[in-house]
Amino acid sequence: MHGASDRTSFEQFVDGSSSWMLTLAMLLTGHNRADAEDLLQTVLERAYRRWRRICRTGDPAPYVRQMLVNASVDRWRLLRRRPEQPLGPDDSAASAGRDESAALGDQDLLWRALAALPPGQRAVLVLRYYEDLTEAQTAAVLGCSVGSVKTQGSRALAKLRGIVGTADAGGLANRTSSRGATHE
Amino acid sequence: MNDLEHWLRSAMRAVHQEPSPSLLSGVWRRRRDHWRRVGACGTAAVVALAIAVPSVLYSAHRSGADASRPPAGQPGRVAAAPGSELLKCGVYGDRGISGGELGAHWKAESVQAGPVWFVYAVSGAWRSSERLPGGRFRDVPGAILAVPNGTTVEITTPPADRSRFRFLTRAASSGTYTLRDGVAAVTLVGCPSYPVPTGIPEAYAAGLTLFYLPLGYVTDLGGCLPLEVATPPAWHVHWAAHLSRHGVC
Repeated sequence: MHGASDRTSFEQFVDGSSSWMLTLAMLLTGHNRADAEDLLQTVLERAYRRWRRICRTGDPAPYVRQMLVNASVDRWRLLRRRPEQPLGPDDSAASAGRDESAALGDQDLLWRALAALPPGQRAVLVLRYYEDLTEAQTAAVLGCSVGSVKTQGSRALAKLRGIVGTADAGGLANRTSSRGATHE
Repeated sequence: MNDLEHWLRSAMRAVHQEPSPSLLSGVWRRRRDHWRRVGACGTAAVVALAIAVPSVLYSAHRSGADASRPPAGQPGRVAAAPGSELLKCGVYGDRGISGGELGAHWKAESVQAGPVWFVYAVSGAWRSSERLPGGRFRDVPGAILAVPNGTTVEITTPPADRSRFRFLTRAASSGTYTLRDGVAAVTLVGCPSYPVPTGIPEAYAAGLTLFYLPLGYVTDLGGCLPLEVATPPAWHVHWAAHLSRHGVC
C-alpha cells in the first residue's frame, strides 16, 4: 500500500524528471512519440507499485532508467512481428524554431539512424552517448557482458556510419567539428 | 572518440522532449486499470475456490476408504422423513449443490428458519400459484433452499395445510399441476461439512448446500406460505417460517 508521502515523492520525481525520461524513451523507441509516452507511462506505473522499495535504495533515476531500457527491449520483442512503421513527421521538430535548421537536420538524421537499429544496439548507443555510461555500466544496465556491449556498440556504429555517411556525404565531420566544442 | 561518436553524442544531447500534461494522469489511469485487473483475477480465483474446494473435498470424501460411512454428524443411514421426498447432496445429477453463486446480498432478500434459508423469499420468489380452470395450477418454479453442509432437515407445511402445498419433483407433460401431484414435504441432506475458507463473498454461499427445485411447488394457500422445519431423528418441528413478499403475511 502507498501513503500520501509516497505519492507526493513519486509526483515530485515525475515532475522533475519527465523531460529526461521522455527523451530517453524517445531515443530508446527510435523516435515514436506515442510509443515513447506509452512506454514511459507503463514504466512509471510499474515503478509506483514498488516506489517505497525503489526510494529506499536512494536516487530512483537509475532504477527507472533500467526499467525503461528493459521495457523498450521487451516491447520490441513483443511487437517485432508487426510491419515496420515508416517515420512520420516529427512533432518536436515541427515545434522547434525554423532557424535551427542545422540542429533539425542532425536530429532528423539521428532519428533515421536510430530507427534503423535493433533495440538492443539502440539501447547500447543511448546508454553510452546520451546517458554517458561507461561500457561496464552499460553492461550492468542491460544485464550482459562488457564484451557484448562492445560488440553491439561497434556493430551499431558501423551500421550508423553507413546510414549517416550515405545521408550526409561528408558533412558530418564539419558539423561535428563546428558544434562539438559546446558538448565536449 | 571518433567523429561519428562525437556527432552521435551531440545530436542526442540536443534532443529535448517535453511530456504532455497528461503524463501523470495517464499513469494513475493505468494504475486503476491494474487494480481492476487484479480485482477481476481475485474474484475469479475466489469463485474457482468456492466451486473447486467443496467438489474436491467431497470427491476425496467419497473416494476414501470409508466412503460407505455417512458424513460426520449425520445419522448412520439417512432416510427421508415419512411422506417426504429425499433430496441429497450431489453434483449435477442430484439437486443439492454445495456452494454456488447467488446475488451479492442474497441473505437480506431471504428468510431464515433455523438452519434453513428460503432463498429470495423476501423479494417474492416464494409466492402463490396461478390458478387455472379445472382445479389446476401453474407451478412456481425455481425455488431455492439452502442448508448448512452436514445438516439434514425436513421442510413441510403444518398438518392442516399439507394437502394444499405440494413440492413438485417431477415434471408433468401438460405443464400444469393439481394439489395431488408432487409431495407435501422434502427432506434435504446437506453435503459433508468442511472448513470454509474465510473471506469468500456472501454471494458464493460457502458452507451451504443449495437445493434447486426447478419445478418449485404448487399451492392454493395464497400469498402467505407457512412452512416448517423439522430435524431427525424424531422429525419434530423446531422452526416455522411464513413466507410472503416483503416478509408480511
